[in-house]
Amino acid sequence: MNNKIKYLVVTAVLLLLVVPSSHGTPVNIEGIQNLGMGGPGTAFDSHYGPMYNPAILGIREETKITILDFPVTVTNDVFKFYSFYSDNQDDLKNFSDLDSDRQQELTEEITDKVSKYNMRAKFGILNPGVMIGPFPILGPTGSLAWGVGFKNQTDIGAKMNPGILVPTINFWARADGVLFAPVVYSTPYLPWKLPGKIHAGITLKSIMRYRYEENRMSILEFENFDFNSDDLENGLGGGWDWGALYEFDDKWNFSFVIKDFLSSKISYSGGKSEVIKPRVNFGASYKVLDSLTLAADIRDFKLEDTYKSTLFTKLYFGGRYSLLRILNVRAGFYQGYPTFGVGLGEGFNYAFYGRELGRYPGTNPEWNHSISFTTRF
Amino acid sequence: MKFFKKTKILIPVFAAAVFLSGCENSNIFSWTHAQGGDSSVVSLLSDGQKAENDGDYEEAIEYYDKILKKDPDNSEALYGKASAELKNAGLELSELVSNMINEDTQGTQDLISDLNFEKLEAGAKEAKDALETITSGEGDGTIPADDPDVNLNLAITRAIWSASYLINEYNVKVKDDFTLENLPEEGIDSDDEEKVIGELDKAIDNLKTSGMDTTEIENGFDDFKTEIDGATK
Repeated sequence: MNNKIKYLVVTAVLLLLVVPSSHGTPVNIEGIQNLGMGGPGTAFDSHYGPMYNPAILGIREETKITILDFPVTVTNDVFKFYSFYSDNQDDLKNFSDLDSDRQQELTEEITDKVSKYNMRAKFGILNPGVMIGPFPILGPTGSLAWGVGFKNQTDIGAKMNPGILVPTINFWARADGVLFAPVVYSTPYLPWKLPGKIHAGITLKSIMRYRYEENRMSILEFENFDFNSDDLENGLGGGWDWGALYEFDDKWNFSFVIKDFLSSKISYSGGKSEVIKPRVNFGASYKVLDSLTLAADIRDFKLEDTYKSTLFTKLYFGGRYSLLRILNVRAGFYQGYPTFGVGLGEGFNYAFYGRELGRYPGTNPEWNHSISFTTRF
Repeated sequence: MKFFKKTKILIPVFAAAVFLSGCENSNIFSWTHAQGGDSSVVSLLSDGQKAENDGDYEEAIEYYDKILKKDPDNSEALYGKASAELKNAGLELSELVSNMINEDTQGTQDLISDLNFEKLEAGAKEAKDALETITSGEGDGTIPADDPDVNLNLAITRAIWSASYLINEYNVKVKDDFTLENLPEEGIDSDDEEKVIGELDKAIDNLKTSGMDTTEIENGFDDFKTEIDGATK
């Protein structure tokens, strides 16, 4: 690489690291295998690997076809709400017949606990994909891998806030569909006798988004609320991710990804548009044993985060352990919150994880259960 | 590497331990941020909201005040300050609503008698000023002037301030149906009447902006105004 190009690349990367925070909401579809082990995914292979880093395709040993994939995530508060309702449904139905102590007990439980629950569900359907490669189409000079897939996620939820004196409600629904096509080039060797291999690729993305949200709606507004389908916005856009993976040896991988490189834009039917700014992610993975992999990612890194506690909300790390190639146990820390996951073969995966909704670690956790059923070969 | 092979069996145990530690709702990095350690507006706003959620209302007010010193139009800080001021004054609406639903007059009376009305008047005044900055359009626009939630809360805050003002100035009592008694026979000062009635008129305007049908409330306020009027010097 000549020096001018080198400087150009370095300058571009530095500029990306200081870009202001994103305006648009990025498409954030995460794999349940990754969530169970703390959320990393840019430097090792997993079902959703190409969504994290296109270059992942370069380290796959075979073609993978996903026929069906049904992931579902619900917050722990949904279970708490269900538990509250099933424990008290008779009393709630016959509230006026209860004695005043019981009425007060129920009312206080609703105002102090139930009204603060964060009710959220995410789900995807079908999610088919064909990921081919790597294919030594370029002979001794390298190999290519490519693929095409479709992932989608619908995120719906409601949260009540204490407000000033009168509680308010936020509720939202967002459905994202991404048709994506990664292409990856892998070098068989590096110049200057450097060890390892480099895989570099791009993912072209076509994004469809439906969204609807109401923030800080007062109880009075909620009482008179009437859903108007005209308020449901639908948009179409596109963009691309760029990713590289340095396979140092058969144990260490290092990754560098720019998501929504040069920004992705979604245009809505009403004339509005949403610009998703680039984000810089990088990570590493270490294969301790054939059955044990440790990995860590930093997502959406910015120079301004250096030496600040906000950096810790961008850390995702953990490990996965495979027992007899059938039972997979995973654990890690997602933005500092512990995670746990388990998988049975290719078909079933479960993850429990915490997510930070606030600015700093420990400010406002959201606890989630995720489960997926997949047909893949 | 031998170490890892020998300790293979420990890995699932480690995973389970991590899972169990998660049940404590703890973040392993929460130590990295000291509340109030960063003086940027975004950081102070986050700290203010966290302190308020944790019930540390005085601390929350301090953070919001620091923001407003730097950025007096910051609507999020004005909103947070109003909320923290009222809660710091001891106004726990959820318990009050619970008692009202249950028609627990004794509980309501106990709550009212526990209130420190001097503190409530001062808190309501601060909250009123903060919310008025937003509804008058002097905020930074992140919360619009006609925001229904802000207008509704401002209307209630005006009523709370008016009642606590009368209570403090004239030793008026609040009955469990929230009407006032013991209005002084010698009447109230006309300036005070102007202040209180002025606030109630503005409260009606705020309620209308919030989208509420105010017919019944206006009738109630009219009765109250007549009562106050009758007591005016």
